[in-house]
Amino acid sequence: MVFSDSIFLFIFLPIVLAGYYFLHLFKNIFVENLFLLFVSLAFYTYGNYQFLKLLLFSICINYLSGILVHCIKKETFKKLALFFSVFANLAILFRFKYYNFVVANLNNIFKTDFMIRNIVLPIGISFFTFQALSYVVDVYKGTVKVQKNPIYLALYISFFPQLIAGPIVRYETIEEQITNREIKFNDFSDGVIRFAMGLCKKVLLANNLAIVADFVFNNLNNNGYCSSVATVWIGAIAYTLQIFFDFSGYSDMAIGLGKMFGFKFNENFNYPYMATSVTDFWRRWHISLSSWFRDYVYIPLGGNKCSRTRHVFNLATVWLFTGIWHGANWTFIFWGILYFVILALEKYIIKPDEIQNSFCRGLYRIFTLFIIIFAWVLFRSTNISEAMIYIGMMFGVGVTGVIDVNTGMLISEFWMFIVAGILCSITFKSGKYASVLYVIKNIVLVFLVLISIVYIINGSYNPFIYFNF
Amino acid sequence: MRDKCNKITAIIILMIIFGISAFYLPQMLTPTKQCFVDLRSGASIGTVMSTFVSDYKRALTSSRGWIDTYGLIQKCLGKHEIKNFAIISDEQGNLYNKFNGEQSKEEINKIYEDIERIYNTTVENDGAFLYVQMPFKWLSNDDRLNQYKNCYGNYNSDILGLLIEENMLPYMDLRDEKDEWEFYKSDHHWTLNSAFEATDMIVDELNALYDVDLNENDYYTNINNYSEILYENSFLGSAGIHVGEYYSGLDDFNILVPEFDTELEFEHYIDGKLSVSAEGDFWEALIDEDILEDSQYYNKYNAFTYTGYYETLILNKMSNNNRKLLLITNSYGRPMVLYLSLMFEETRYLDPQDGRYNDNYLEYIEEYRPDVVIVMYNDRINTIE
Repeated sequence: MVFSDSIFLFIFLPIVLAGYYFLHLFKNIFVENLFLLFVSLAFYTYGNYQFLKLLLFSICINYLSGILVHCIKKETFKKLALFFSVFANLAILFRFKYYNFVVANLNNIFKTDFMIRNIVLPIGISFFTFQALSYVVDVYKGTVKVQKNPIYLALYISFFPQLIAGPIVRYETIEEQITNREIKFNDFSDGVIRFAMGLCKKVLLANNLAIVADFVFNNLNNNGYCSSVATVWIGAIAYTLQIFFDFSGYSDMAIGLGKMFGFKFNENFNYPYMATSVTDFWRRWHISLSSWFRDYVYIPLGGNKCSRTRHVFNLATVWLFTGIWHGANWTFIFWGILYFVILALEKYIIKPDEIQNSFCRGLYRIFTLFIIIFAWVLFRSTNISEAMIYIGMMFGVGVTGVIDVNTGMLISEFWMFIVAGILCSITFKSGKYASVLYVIKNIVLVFLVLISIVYIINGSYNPFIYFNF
Repeated sequence: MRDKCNKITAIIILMIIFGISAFYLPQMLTPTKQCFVDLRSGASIGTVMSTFVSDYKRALTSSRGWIDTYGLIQKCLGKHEIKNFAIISDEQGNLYNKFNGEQSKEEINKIYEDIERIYNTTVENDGAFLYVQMPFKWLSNDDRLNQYKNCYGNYNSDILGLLIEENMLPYMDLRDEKDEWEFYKSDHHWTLNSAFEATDMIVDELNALYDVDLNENDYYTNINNYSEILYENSFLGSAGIHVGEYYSGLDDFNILVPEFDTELEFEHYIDGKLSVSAEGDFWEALIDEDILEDSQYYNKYNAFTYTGYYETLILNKMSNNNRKLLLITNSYGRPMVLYLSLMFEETRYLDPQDGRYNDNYLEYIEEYRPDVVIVMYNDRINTIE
C-alpha cells in the first residue's frame, strides 16, 4: 500500500487513526503498540501477503539476535551472535535482491549456466533490513538497551509509516517513544500538515514530473535514441525533481504519520539541491541512509582517522555499498562509484568549503547541480550504455538538433510543474511577513490537498519508484 | 498564532479525509460483506483484496463530480495531455484515447492469414467478400498530435492493406474515399453520419465487385429518406468520461431514422445465450431509447443495438431479397449495421475484439453460409482450421 492511494487515504488511515485514538483513551501503551503492530502488518500484507512471512522471519531473527547479543557475556560468542545476525540479514537481502544479479554476471563472465530465478523483490526489504540490523549492532555496542518485548521490537521494525520507503529509523530514536510517548495536539496537527505537504509533493509534483521523465527516457529506448539536446535536458531535470519530491514527499508523509501517533522521526532531507558541494548534498539527501552507512560501515572501518589511502578505501567501500543498496544493477554501482570519486576529489583536491571567492563558490554550486543531474541520469537508466548515450546527448552527441518536436510540447504541458518543482526545492526567507505567509501557506495547502485528492481518485499516474530499494 | 493556524488547518484536512471516507462507506458495505463470503468460500486473500480495491475505486470514480473537477483542473492548466498521455486533446478540443502500437511484420502477416482464411471459406461457400479498412480518428499526417505520442494505427493498416491488395483480395480503404471523416469530439468512434456515408460507399463497392444489386437507386442510403432525431449536448464518449464534461464538452448525438416502413427482429447473444431481443420498426428494434432519454447516462453510443456487440442477429421482415450478411467488425460497425441490415434479409454482426465473439469464424461461415461477408477489423480473428 502506498500513502498516495485512495485505499490508504480513505480506508486505512481513518480506521487506524480512529482505532488508535479510541484505544488511547484507556492509556495502555501495550495495547496501543499491539494495535499499531497489527495494522502495520496489515499494511504490509496489502502489498503482497506472501511477503508477510519474510517480514515476520526478519523480526524473529533480529529479536533473537538482540537477546543473544545482550545475554552472552563472553566477547567472542557475543561477536559470533552479532555475526550471525548480520549474516542472516544480509542473506535475506541477497536472496531477494542480489541473487539474480550475481548469477547473471557469473553466467556472463564464466559462461556458466546457473539458473535465474523468478524472484519478486519484497517491498521495502532494504529499509526494514537495515533498520533491524542497526538495532542488533546498537545492542552489541551497548548504545541501546535490548528490547525483550517481541511486540515492541516488531513494531520498531514494521511500523507502517517508515516500512516501505524510510526514513531508516534508528532504534535509539524511538526506543523511549515505544514505551513512553506523549501525544500533544500541537504535534498531532504538525503531523497532519507534514503528511499533507508530503502528499501534495508526491501527487502533484513527483507524479506529474514522472510523466516527463518517463516520456523522455522511454521514448529514447523505443525510438532508437533519437531526441534533441533540449528534450534530454528536460527529461533529466524532470527526473532530478521527480526523485526528490517522490522520496522527500514519502519521508514527509512518514514523519507526519509518525507524529500523528506520537513518534518523532529524524529528518531525511534538507533542501538537497541547495547544496554548495557534492559533500554538502549528501549531508542533505537521504540523511538516514548516509548516517546509517557512516555509523555502521564508515566509522567501524576507521572513518577519516587513518591514513589517506585507508580513508580513500573506506570512502570507496561506503559508496560501493551505497550504490548496491539502491539496486542490483551496474548503474547503481557506477552511481555509487561516481559519488566516491567526486567526494574523494572534494576531500583532498577541490576542498569546496575552503573556496573564498563568492563567484567561484557560485560556480561550484552550479557544477554540483550538474554532477547531481548526471548522476540521476545514470541512476534512472536501465543500463550503463543507455546512460552514456543519454549523457552524450545532453552534450549534443548523436542528437537530432537543439530542439525537436517534443521539446515545445513538454514545456507547454509541464512548465508549471517544472517551475513549481524548482521553486519548492529552494528555501526562502519570509522576513517580517512570516506570520501572514504562514497562514497563506496553510490555506494554499488545504487547496492543494483537495486537488491531490481529485488526482488520486481519478487514478492519475502514480508510479512507485522504490521497487529497487 | 502558528499553533492555532496549524490546528485549524489539520482539522480541515482531517475533515476532508474523514468526510470522503464516511461518504463512501455505505457504498462499500455490500462489497465488504462479499469479501467475507468469498473468503469463507475459499477464495484467496489476494483475489478478495483486489476485488475489494477495484470495487472501492469504482465507487469513488462513479461520482461524476470528481472527474468533472479533474477535467476542470486540466483545462485551467491548459493541458492537452491527460493521465500520462492516455488521452490527448487537439486545439479544436477533439479527444484521442487510442494509441495503437507498432505491429511487427509477423503480427500483421498473421492478421492477413486470418483474413485470407475467411476469404477462402466465404468463396468456397459461394459468398461475396470485402475487406474494408476503416478510417482512424488520428490522422497519419497530423504532426500536432505526433509530438505527444505516435499512433501506429494507420501505419499498421497500410502494411495490412498492401498485403491484401498484393494477394488480390477484395479490398476497400475508406481512408482514401474521403479527406476527413467526422468523429465525435469526446469519443474514438466515427459519427453516425460517417457510418451512414460509409455504408453507402461499401454497398456501392459490393455492387461494383459482385453486382449484388443491394441498394437500387441508392434508396437505402439516400439521406432524404431518413429523418434526423437529435439529442443535443448529450454524449460523453470513451475519452470524455476520463476528463468530464467541463474539459471536453458534450457531443451532440443524432440518429437517422428511416421514413420508409421497416419491420425488424433483433437478438443479441453473449456466449450463445440470448441477452437482449427486440422487434418492431427500426427505432423499436435497434435503438435503446432508455439510454437516449436518460440524462445521467452519457454513453449514448450504447443506444445502438442495445449495447450489443458480441453476436448480433437482425432479421429484416420487409426485405426485398433473401440475402444474408455477415459483418465482422468491432464497435465501429455498430452504427453501420443499423443501415446495412435494411438491405439484407438477415444480418449477423460478430465482434472479435478482446475475444467478445471468439468461436471459430470459419465454422460460423460454413454453418451460416452468408451471401456477403464484410470484414472491417485489423487484428487477430479466431480462424484456426
